[in-house]
Amino acid sequence: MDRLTIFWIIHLVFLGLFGLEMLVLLWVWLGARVPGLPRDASRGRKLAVISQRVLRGLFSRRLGTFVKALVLDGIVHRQLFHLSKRRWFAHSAVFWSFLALGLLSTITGVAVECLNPQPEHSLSPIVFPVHHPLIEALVDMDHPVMALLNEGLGLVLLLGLALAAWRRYFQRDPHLRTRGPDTAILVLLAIITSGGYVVEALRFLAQDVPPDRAIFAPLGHGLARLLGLLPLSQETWVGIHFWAFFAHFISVNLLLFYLPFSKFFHIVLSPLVVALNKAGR
Amino acid sequence: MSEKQAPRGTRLDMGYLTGWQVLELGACTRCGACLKWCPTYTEAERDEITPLDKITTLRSFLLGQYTGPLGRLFGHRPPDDAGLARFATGVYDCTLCGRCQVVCPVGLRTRELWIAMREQLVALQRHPTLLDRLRETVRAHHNISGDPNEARTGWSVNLAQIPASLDRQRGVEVVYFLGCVAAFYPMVYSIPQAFAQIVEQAGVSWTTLGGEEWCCGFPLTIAGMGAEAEDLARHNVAAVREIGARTLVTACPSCYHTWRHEYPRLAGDLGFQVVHSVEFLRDLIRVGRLALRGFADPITYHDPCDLGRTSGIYDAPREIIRAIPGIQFTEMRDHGAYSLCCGGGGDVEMADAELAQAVGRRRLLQAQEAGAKVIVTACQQCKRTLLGAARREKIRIRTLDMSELVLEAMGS
Repeated sequence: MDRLTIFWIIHLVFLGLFGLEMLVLLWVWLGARVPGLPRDASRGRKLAVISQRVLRGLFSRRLGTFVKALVLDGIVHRQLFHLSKRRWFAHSAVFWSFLALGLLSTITGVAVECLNPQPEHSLSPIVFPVHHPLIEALVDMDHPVMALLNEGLGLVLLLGLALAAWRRYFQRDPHLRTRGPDTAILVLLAIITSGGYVVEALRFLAQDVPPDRAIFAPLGHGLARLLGLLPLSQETWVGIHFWAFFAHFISVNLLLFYLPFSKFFHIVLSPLVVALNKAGR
Repeated sequence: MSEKQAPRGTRLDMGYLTGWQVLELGACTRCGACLKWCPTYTEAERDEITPLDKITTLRSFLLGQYTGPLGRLFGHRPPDDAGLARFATGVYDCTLCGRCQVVCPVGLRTRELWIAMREQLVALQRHPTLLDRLRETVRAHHNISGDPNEARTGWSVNLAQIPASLDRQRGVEVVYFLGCVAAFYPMVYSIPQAFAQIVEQAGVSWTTLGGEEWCCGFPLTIAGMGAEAEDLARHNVAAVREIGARTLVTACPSCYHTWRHEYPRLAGDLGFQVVHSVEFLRDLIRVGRLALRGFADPITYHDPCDLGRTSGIYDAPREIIRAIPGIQFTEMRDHGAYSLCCGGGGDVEMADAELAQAVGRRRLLQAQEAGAKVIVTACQQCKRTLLGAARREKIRIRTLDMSELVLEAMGS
């Protein structure tokens, strides 16, 4: 079985688990009271009423207020900006780059699996092969734009994490409360992000990517040159890259698995809540 | 088995929270922005009081209880005795001032959340036992003090002339709803006394509900015993309707909030308007029915939480103050939406009286810092709390309600 086939099997398992977790949370959530319904209303009835209200809201005048609040308060975080520019920068660095990297990975995944005219593995379900420079860029990991985007967003994320860690562990902001889950999320994100650079460097060595292409991922390239000083054969680098890739990939999936039950789930809920609170529930 | 003897439970019921509130529990970013604004945490520095701790704890309890091994895998545990005791302390050591709501970057409706938590704790018999006594007192006497309810007009005895329309006069324009604090706590009798003199001089036709005024239910609602307040609401609404007045005025922000926002949910259209005394007095001044002459001492204004943050009334009291010729008025460091609580809210006095006093002391120091010799408020509970704190802490500052300020400014 090739590397990407194993990748997809693992990823689908974790995606299934994530879906299961979300269903469990939905079941729990529907146990709560819905204003206007009797307390003992069934979960199905609650879901139907909530869906109706959401649809009604989407086609009401409040939609404009909601979208405005979603952008200004949920995504740009203007209240945090007014409170503290430094905290806003740290939070935005993590929030935006995490979302952008997630989006980029999803688009890349779709391009590689569904639009790529040259499938790379046995499970690839080519649905609609597209010959277009954009698709070529997306499926080419060493494409200058893709390489710079991935490296740049990763760096912004690392910077945001470093600032958050500084505030939490060194500056010891008296208003923060650090517990195990807070540290777990920061560590997991740091491992994933920094691990990405290590995997990139190992790939350069394993695939013997020429410097004129690798240079667009400057951090990975520099790290590869450093690691290249070690007296290891190409075959050994291939093996190390294989395991490093899976370690990195599994850590990403662990984050996905942990997300719904972690404090980091606020990344999904808080933009929604702040926007709806502003728009008037 | 009576409620007091009912076994203490540990199993939470999701039905005490709305679906929205459950989402809010997950939306808290744990940023800690609320901490420095929390008046009781500032004094006590116990983590369980902080908004973020209460939210994190309840979310963890719910995930631990409802998701079984999956939740436990991620460190969430169902509630146990020790955990619930700690949680209850935090929930009841909160003045419900709502400042956390103002500063929360996510805009969480925290005040409603704290009340929902209290309802849950009452159902589990985890609330302070003094609140049971409060409930019994209100049930038996229809007021929070336990005095015979017929004595609600006792404050009027010392008036030079007792208004003829004082007790349930039908066909008047205005019903003055005193609230339990003004009716039964002599240290704030001066508030209804001042109000009565002002409206008499302004020629307003008014009355009170006398012994038919029952507690508005607010103390029970915020204790987490909201269901108990429904009978009180129905009685009060019927009593005012019987008088036939067009306006209900109250000097108590908690009563005001209850009348204005809670009663219509239970009784539908009330059939009369509800205003706070500061709005009523402001309108009398606007139309020239009150002549203000001046006030000598420098003053500051304390925004009551239930009038300001909860009900959105910030301008009316300031308009009255500015209408007084030559007044020296300075805002305190924390004012308006960021106003510091006096410590008298949220039934904290019953859970931890010392904590409530410490908050009041801090507020008085802010008033002194602003150079005020008089701290004016628009709430009888705030006045009572601040007066008590000033006496205990030997802080030399006068405390006045807006009605008293207006009466003095009228030169009466």
